[in-house]
Amino acid sequence: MRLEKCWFCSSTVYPGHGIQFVRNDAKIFRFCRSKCHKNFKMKRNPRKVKWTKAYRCLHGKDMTQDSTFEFERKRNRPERYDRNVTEQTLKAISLITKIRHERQKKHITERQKQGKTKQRERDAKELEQDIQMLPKKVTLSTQKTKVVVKVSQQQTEENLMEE
Amino acid sequence: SAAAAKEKKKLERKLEKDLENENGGAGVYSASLKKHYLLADDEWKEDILPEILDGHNVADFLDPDILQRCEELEREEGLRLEEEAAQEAFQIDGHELTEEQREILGQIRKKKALLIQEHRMKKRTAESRPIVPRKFDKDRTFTTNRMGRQLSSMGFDPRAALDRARSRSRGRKRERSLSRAASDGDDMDIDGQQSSKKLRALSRSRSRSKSRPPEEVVPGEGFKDSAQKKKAIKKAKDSVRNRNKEARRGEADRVIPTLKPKHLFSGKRSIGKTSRR
Repeated sequence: MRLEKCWFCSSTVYPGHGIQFVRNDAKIFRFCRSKCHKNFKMKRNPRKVKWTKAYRCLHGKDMTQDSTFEFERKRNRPERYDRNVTEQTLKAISLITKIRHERQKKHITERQKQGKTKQRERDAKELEQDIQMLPKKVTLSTQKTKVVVKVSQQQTEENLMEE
Repeated sequence: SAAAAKEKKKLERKLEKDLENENGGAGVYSASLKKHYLLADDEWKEDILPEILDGHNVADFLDPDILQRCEELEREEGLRLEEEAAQEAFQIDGHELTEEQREILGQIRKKKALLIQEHRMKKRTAESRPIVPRKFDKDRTFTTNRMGRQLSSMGFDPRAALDRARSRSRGRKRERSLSRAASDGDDMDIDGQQSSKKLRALSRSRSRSKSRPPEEVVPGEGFKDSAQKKKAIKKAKDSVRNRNKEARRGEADRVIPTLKPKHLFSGKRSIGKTSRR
């Protein structure tokens, strides 16, 4: 019994789920649901379908290189059973998974930072250019707020001088 | 002696078949597959361990050095977190918009959306919504109140504009009074009076023509009384009825159609008889 990955979308295929296609050259294609199976039969390339892991890896949207992936490798030489090693492994799995999730989240945050920066710049520019669309009362209120800010700065300076 | 030793060994070692016979025979006895495992500790033979855990294959993680590697990973993670904290401290100076600026930006965007919507509506209905001159503005949409409201919405003080509009209307009144004075000053009083009377009569007749019943006789039409006009109207309608029944376009439609065109009613029939048609 073993968990496998879907050939199309790279989801986990649990035992008793999905469907499997063995080609004439003995290559096995596993699918997690009929959606992936139908896409495969329509000859779609997973790298070009946006909701697949292959697309996301190819376009840098998901983390692909990390040391935590080295901990989980398919091993073709079975190890002799050792209770101590197994206990350590079962404890380590949760730790490794937690660290991996944190790093994946960090990767996504870093990736979205550029977009947020551009959005911020766009907002500031729009505010500067189109401030005259509104009535003058609103504009005057902004100027008043600026004056208030200056006063507060002066107060802080006075406090510094007193100290 | 060798044969004797062999015999002893045979007696000591029990075959699986012997165990089966002792424990109930075939179909009842199930042999344990774990008793021959070659493990460092015989106690471990009966252990039960999971094959999958939280969406992962346990076998993929098994490694004799896993403890050391985990320690290295934790150390690495600690360093990474420290570095992140340092970067965040350095990056706190973000050029974020203030709450009030964000609100103003929201208002600007809302106004832009409204302008776009108005433009699309005009564009959609431009050809089917002609512009009406102000003198036909029966709904009185162009009023000083509305102008004042619009100026206020744009952020201007509308009082000066309203005062100017009212002064212009007063000026027009003054012009009217001046014209009256001029007419009074002329020596030709009779001509002036006649012209004004004619104008009034014309305006009255135009305004009254809509509310007049059709049988009422207007001077100049040639009828002596209402009864005669009514009779004339009836005769006119009677004369038109027959023509209207003939599906003609008007009095000038004097077309005589070809009831039996020759090219349709001559020659032999290819199939069938005359009654087929």
